Amino acid sequence: MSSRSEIFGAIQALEKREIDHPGDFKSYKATQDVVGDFKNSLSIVGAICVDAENKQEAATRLSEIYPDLLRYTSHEVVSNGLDLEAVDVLEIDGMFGVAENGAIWLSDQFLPNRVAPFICQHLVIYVAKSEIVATLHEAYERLDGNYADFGLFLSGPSKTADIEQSLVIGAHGARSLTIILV
Amino acid sequence: MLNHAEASEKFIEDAERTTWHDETLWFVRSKRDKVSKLLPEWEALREQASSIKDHTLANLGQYLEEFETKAQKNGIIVHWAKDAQEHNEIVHSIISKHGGKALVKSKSMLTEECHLNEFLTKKGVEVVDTDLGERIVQFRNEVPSHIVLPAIHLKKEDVGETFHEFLGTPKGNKDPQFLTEAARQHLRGYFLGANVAITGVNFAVAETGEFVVCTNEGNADMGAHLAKVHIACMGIEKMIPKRKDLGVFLRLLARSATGQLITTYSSHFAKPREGQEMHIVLVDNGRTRQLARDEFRNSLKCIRCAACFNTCPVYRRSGGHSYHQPVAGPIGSILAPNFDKSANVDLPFASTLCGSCSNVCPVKINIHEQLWFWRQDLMKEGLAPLGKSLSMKGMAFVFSNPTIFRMAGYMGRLVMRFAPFIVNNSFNPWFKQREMPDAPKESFQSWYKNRK
Amino acid sequence: MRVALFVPCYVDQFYPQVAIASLELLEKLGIEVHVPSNQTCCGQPMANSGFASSTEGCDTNFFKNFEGFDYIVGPTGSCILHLKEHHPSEKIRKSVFEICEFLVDVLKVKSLSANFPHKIGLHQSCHGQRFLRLSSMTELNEAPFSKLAQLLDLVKGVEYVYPERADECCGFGGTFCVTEEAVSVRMGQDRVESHLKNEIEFIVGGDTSCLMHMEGILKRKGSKVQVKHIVEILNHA
Ligand code: SF4
Repeated sequence: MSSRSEIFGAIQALEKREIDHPGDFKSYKATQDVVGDFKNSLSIVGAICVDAENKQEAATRLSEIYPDLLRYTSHEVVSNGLDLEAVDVLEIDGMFGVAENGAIWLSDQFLPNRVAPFICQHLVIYVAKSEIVATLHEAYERLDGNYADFGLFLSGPSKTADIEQSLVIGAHGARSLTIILV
Repeated sequence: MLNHAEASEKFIEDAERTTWHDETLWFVRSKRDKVSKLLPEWEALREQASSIKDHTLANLGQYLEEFETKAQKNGIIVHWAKDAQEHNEIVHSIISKHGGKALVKSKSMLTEECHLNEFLTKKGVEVVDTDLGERIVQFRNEVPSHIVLPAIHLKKEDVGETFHEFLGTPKGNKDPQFLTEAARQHLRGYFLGANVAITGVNFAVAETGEFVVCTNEGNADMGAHLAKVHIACMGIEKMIPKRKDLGVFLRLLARSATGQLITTYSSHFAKPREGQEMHIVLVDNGRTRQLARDEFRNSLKCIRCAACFNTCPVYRRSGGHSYHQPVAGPIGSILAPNFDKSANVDLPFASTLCGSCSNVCPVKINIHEQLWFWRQDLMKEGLAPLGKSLSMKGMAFVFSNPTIFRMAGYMGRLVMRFAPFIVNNSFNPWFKQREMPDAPKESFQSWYKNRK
Repeated sequence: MRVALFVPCYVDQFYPQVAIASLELLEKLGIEVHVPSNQTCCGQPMANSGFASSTEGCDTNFFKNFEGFDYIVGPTGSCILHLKEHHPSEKIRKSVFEICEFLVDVLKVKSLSANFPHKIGLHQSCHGQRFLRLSSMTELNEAPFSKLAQLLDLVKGVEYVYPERADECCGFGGTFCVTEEAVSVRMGQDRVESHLKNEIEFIVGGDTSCLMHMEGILKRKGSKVQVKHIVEILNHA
């Protein structure tokens, strides 16, 4: 007998128990100020947040934050066939943000490739202020029917506290994360 | 092997380190308290998570089947392993098919449970743990002492020395920032060169056939997205029905684990990237046995957040290695007897049954009750040391016979009042570091008799 | 209402003053209290050691002594909890009450004539707190409350304070206190230290076993601080 049928056999041999799924969870109260909450979460998770009126303003601010580093957009990476390991600052678009935890949904559709947001040294993500939802429940509502081949919630720069619980930013992934709110 | 009590005694000998260990983990628990209290729906979320898991376990066969079908449709290759041995063999056969000599692995408690590293190393495959904490303990030839903070038993001095030895960092440098950077550089090479990456799985979604992996470091993603072959290993209990259920679990997981709002990366893998091969190994290894037991089924709801470790006053003062199991702490103590009763008979007793664990558990596992049930089960199987079962029988006899009880107590008090040195010696573990209570002149019952 | 006082075995033998205070306090509140003379033990020491199967004689004896009462009241949360959860008779399970629970929930006591002009550290033992719900728990997201504190508020002169980590276990844990001696003592020492930091004169709680454990540690340390059961305070003139 294959292990598969052994496992299923063992499960089927159990007494049947009727327990319903409790249904979707409704969060208690929607926040009034999703953008404010989102910014607050970003500061907790160690991300830099930039309010920008337009691309021009964003670019100015970015050159202040990353003065000596070259910045590439997703498009440039793909069309120039860049070696991602060499990319200092990568600029990408996020689909939407989550106010309660500062996470941004990224997926295959928005990435030059899957490893990009992890392997670059610094990451910049553009999110529209109108695209912030309050909680993860609303986030999954939004993703309903949108099944990316690969997608992730990204919240803050890569970090670890594995040495004596002291927080170090930049474990394996990006050393810094800047969110541009447009 | 030392049992829990013996190993703890050794751990506690270093009083200062014990204080540090206790305080550091308490700090993690406090962070958890703080963020959980910011959510008015916290208790409702726990209830929801618990109900979803109850429902899933009651319909596990159906959800596993759905998951398998969807995952295969997504282009993932699905394997089934009934035990650790088979799991290890499956993983090894995939690796050898691709001629892999080295692989990168992110944290997976399942592979610890199956002792995969040992198995592969014997077969000549170099396994590189990429989680910083796991890499540290791997260098030191130890095992993780905590499922979320694998190196929490070590101080930065220890890590500095280990890195000096293995990575050539300057002797005496114990700066966490510096040491983390050294590990980053060291592991980048492995990420870029590895053919095969192994990751664990936090949640597998039946509805979509995708699985979710959560890390803070980004090591699971670095491995999985660079390697030609991605193998994800999971216990069959990691299943959840729907994608929307993820909202509930992801809200609870990081808040419970470290007091973070969410882990830095919560990656949803549905399909392999172009040119990549993606495998999932679904492992039973005793889980269906546990599923059949009413008292212990609940333990399969665990999402491995380690909140029960951090809150456990015993764990904090005895360290993870005292549990001599890949999963330590309260949850480990109720999982371990399912694997081997006689080797783990000490673990359900390594608790005061204070119940704090059950209170912090995001999926509301009745951990302390299960500890109690295991005690009954193990003693029924005759696994008590002889002295203990004799003294229990004696106790049972005394307490069911009021006359003898009064005699026994009376004698006990007499002995203590007139010859305290008889009981106050080191053969009595109570007395080693505590005084006995003063023996009163008379018991309450005899006082009461005279009062009338 | 027929009320019986349950005096756990070690209270009877080592802490008669706790049983006396319980009796006197209930009598002061106008209750006629019966003390069945053939009572012994609740069976918890055996059950928590994995020998629940050996408690039959103990359970029968308890039943014989207490079946005739509406309320069975005892001054120790842990034993009461065991009876509530594991005694085979439903009648017994439903009529047992920890004494503070009884005072607050059944008698609904609104005033006491007690006076205790001292500073005390309040130790809310795990079983009373987490399972009898005598007070709120720091792990949960719930409004704070404490039946023990509610009663202390009725005592003149007393000042009570909580230690840091208000509801951390003291490490007694039944047979745990000897089978896991090292951890048990370390937990007890830590608990005692956090109470002492508050410069208190007494450590006061509702579970005599926890108090016995902390008392043992205090005495070995040579500390002047004493332990007292909360009923001793509530009954103090
Ligand atoms: S038992 Fe509960 S608290 Fe402990 S690790 Fe599992 S989910 Fe977390």
